[in-house]
Amino acid sequence: MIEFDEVTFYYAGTERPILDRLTLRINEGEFILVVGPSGAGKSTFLRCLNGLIPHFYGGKFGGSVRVGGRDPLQAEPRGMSDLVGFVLQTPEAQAVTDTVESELAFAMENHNLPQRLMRKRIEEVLDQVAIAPLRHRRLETLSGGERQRVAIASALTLQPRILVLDEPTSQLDPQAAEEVLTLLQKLNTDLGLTVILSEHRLERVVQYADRILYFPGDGQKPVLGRPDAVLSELPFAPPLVSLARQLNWTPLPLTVKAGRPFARHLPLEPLADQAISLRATSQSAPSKAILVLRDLWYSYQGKEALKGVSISFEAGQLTAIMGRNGSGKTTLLKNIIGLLRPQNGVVELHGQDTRHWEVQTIARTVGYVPQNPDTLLFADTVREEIEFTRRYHPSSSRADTDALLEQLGLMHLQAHYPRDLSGGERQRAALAAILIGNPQVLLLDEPTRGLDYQQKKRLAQFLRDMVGAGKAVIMVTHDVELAARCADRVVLMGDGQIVLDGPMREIMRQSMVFSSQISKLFPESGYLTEDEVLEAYRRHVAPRN
Amino acid sequence: MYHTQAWLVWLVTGLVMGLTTTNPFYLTLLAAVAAVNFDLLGRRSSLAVHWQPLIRFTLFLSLMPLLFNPLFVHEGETVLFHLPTWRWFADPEGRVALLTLGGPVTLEALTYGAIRGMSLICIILTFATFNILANPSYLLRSLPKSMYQMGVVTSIAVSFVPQMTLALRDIREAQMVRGHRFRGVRDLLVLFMPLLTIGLERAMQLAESMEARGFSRQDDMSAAQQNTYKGLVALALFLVLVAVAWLGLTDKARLPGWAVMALAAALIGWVFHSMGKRVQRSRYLTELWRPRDTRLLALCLTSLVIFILFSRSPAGFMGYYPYPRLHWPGFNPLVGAAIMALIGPAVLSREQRDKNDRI
Repeated sequence: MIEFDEVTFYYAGTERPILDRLTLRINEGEFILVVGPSGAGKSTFLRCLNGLIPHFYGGKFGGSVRVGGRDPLQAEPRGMSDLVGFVLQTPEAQAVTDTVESELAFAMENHNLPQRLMRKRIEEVLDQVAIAPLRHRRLETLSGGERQRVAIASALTLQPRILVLDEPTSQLDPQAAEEVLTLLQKLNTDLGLTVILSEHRLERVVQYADRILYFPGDGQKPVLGRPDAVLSELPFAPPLVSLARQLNWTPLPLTVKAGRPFARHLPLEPLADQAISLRATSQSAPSKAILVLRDLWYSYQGKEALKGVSISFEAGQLTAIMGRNGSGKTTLLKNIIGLLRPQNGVVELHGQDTRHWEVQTIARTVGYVPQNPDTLLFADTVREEIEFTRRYHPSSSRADTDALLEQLGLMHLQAHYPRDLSGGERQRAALAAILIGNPQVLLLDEPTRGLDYQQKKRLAQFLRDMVGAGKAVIMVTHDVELAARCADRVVLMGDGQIVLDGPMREIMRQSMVFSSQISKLFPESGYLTEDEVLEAYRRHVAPRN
Repeated sequence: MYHTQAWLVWLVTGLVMGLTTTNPFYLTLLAAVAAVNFDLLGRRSSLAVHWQPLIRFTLFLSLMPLLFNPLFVHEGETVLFHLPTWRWFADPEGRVALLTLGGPVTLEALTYGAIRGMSLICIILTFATFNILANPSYLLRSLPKSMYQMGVVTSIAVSFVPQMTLALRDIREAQMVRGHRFRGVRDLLVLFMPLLTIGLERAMQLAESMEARGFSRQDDMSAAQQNTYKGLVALALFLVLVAVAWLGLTDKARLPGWAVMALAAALIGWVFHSMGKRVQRSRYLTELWRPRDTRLLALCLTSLVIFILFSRSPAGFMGYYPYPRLHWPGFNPLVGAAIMALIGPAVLSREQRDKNDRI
């Protein structure tokens, strides 16, 4: 179905090839998962399948590609569009029209299909993707998951034999991501559609994949193989696979279900008896609240987003705020930093009411890293980016900039243009641009979007260090694994209110949705991360040795 | 709500009426009809709220002729009061001046200003009512084939604006939380650099998505064919100029002028038709023509015919000129009824509601 023969590609102005003599074969009906660090060539590979590379991007192309018997170089993207459906990362960036039905028709109109055929295919695709109730809706009224399903449906109307998706769930919350991935699995099994998907969150999708294509980057040769074979070699892996690899479980379990038989027979020290340093629980001594919110109300044009939220945050504590999209999480952070003013209620910082303070005044004590780091970055170099913030915080020195660059692993990138960096590096540059103000409270809005496992692990460690230094960290996140790795406390929001608030370990043990892979694997024990399980296992084994 | 074609006829009828008559009775009636339509139909459209600020601004603008016309125009016999006079660039004897402000304020000038303001209100209210119920996708699909690509690009550009407004808000907030204050033009650099980059990235993604779905130029015209079309359009425009000059300079023998104009129009029409045939693109049309669309169309066409017939007859009292002395405008009940018929959309749409018509 897909044949790459010695394919080499250089982006314009670069001297190192992003694809270097790539040769591979993909069969019809396969579900291929494409993984690898940012900049390793995943997106480039995907765009070779429909000719966007080299036709849209330019550059130097060598070797040959055959897709469904066609040559994308000859056919160009338009000529490939009925064979290869293509879906991008950001749902809102790929919408051409304003309503669902007209968006679905767009590709067919470009192919000059007759009206009757278009109507028939739209009816079919509405059912296949289960979006029939949305057909007359305007696109801006849809949720992120709904919009991504519409994007998939609009790629399917030409009845392609291959569906290519470039990180389609990276902008979605866990439930919406789950909906999209389940849909892809259904299309693959029911219709025999060849699905080629790049994705960071392996734990969600690895069970659906027939094979994994791993791009290691740094000039190393890509690997294509069975999921268990490739995962056993990857430098990063989902928590379950990571644990299984370290405990030599074979065959390598890819799902929690497959891992349970191994987990049942794993001897572990009980959690309560461990000497490992567990993070704060409800038993920890309360310290003085640094930030207090009392009866906070906020509404957007009459639609209530916060309904009487009262909560306090302490220094030396990392709080993860979780909940569905639209539950009021970001609104809460914006009320704290002063970007939104509470319509009722009080925000107290060190006991002082901040409702009439300017944002810039609050920002001396409270740092806020927004969801999209690109909104912050504008300078020519990473160092200048940090120095720009430092101008407004005279207490920080140039030495602090150096220390921060070192601490965040950005020293070697200090002279780079921030927007040329990878997702993880940009996130760290944005973090540095805020942390140079030395805030006592740090607010983070979805800090792990687009980060791989290694980058998340480093971020978690960095946040723990901050908490250790006495800062209060409040993090809005959908990433259960990150929360499991570093949070002390979890606040669960729903419909503008606090639904649950408590020590992270207790909340994860009680929740069906907000629990980590390891927590699901050892439901009774209270372990949350693979490191804790490994420590408990070693402690159990050690006295006998 | 209504079929786009029927709804376009309603718009054209409203605009023809608003633009051709200066009779204050008719204008008041038309403004009232448009306001009732906007209010009743606007309750069902989320877009109505976006038009309200523009309507408020139009009401403010419509006061301008009421204010400025009496200040600059001193014609009319009914002097209400005198204002101090300022004269600029006057001759030494002070008889003639290039610009005179102040002087006698007449009731006639005030009335004429009010009529101009009322015309503006009628046009904006009619447009606003049309827009709150018009479906841009259907409008786009109503364009001639040769203009379709241009229409798609325009609709994308329009939908890009709200996205960029949101991005600008996020960037502004992100810079504020760093401690940045926006004081002068130089401080805006931190806003526009990220906005430019984000805008370009989004545009690239959109272009990529469109290309991957088969959107591109499909009429592979040779350079010679392109030049032929350009030459014909240039020739047509030249003929329009000749016709305008002929008609402007000659009072008699106007027929050749109109003939040249018709030839130019036919030439442009043929070029568009010929280019349209080259576009290999179909259109997805699902709009249903309902009985209420037929009723609306009949109503509008009848009103339009009555209005046009009377507009050329003194019995229609279409034109009203308050100078030199204010007098009562005439009123023809048949013309009044034709204007009143435009309330049709608000009345007919109460008959039945289709849940699929949600805007």
